[in-house]
Amino acid sequence: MKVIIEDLKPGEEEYILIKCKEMDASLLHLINRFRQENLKLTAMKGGSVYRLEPKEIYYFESMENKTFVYTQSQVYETKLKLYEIEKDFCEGDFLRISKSIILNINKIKSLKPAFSSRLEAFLKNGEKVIISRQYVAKLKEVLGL
Amino acid sequence: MKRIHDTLLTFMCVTTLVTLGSAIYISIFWKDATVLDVNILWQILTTGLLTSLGHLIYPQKELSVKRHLFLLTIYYLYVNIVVLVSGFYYDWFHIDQWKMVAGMVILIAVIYAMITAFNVLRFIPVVNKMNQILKERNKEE
Repeated sequence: MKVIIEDLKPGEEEYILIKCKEMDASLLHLINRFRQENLKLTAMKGGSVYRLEPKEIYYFESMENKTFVYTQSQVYETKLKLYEIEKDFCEGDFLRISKSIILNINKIKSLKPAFSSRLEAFLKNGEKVIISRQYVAKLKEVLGL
Repeated sequence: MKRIHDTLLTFMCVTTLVTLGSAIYISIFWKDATVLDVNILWQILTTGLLTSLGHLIYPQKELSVKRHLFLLTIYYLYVNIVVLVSGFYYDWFHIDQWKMVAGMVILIAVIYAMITAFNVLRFIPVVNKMNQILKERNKEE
């Protein structure tokens, strides 16, 4: 694959142009990753508003009609519902792993089988989340299995 | 489609282990029998199929650990009922012979435990492969 980088003309907006014979799954995934790089999430903590980048986010969790955003060591709250987050984030590195959690799969350190055909995902910050049985197949697909 | 696949896999596992279990049971409790009726093979297959169909009580949706344990218990009771009723109907044991009935109950428990263990163990190589992929992804990051 050839990669060409050109200087911008004055006033021109940055863009990425992809020329391909056909759009396959890996190319689509790459495009969604690029899209996600520009996606920032507005979240609140202690009365302050923050703009979080997708790569900082470990997972989203919905609890008691609220949506929480977990980063390495902080927890924020967002006004977005889980289905809205799923629409924006789940084409890239994020994956729904249960009814109430959307996980950044780049933050998974390792997996372990759990009871009832579930998986335990050990995250890079030491936390652990459970991947429900019906979402295991999707994770396998995303990992290329 | 996946449900049919899982049920068929359970049926294959059950049939293999039940055949083994039947061989052990017949060797202990029917060792004086010189001729076995060919119908025993159809009986094993039919009972195996009926017990495997019980697998369908597990819904596709997310289950809590409590609910899963509850369904596991129901399934185990279902298997016991199917096998013991079949055994009584097909004359695999005499109801007044407590050793034969106890032998059947123990055999059911052992086969059930082996199938449960098989379902857990077959998942391990897949998880190992997933961990390998994650390790490579983490190296690239």
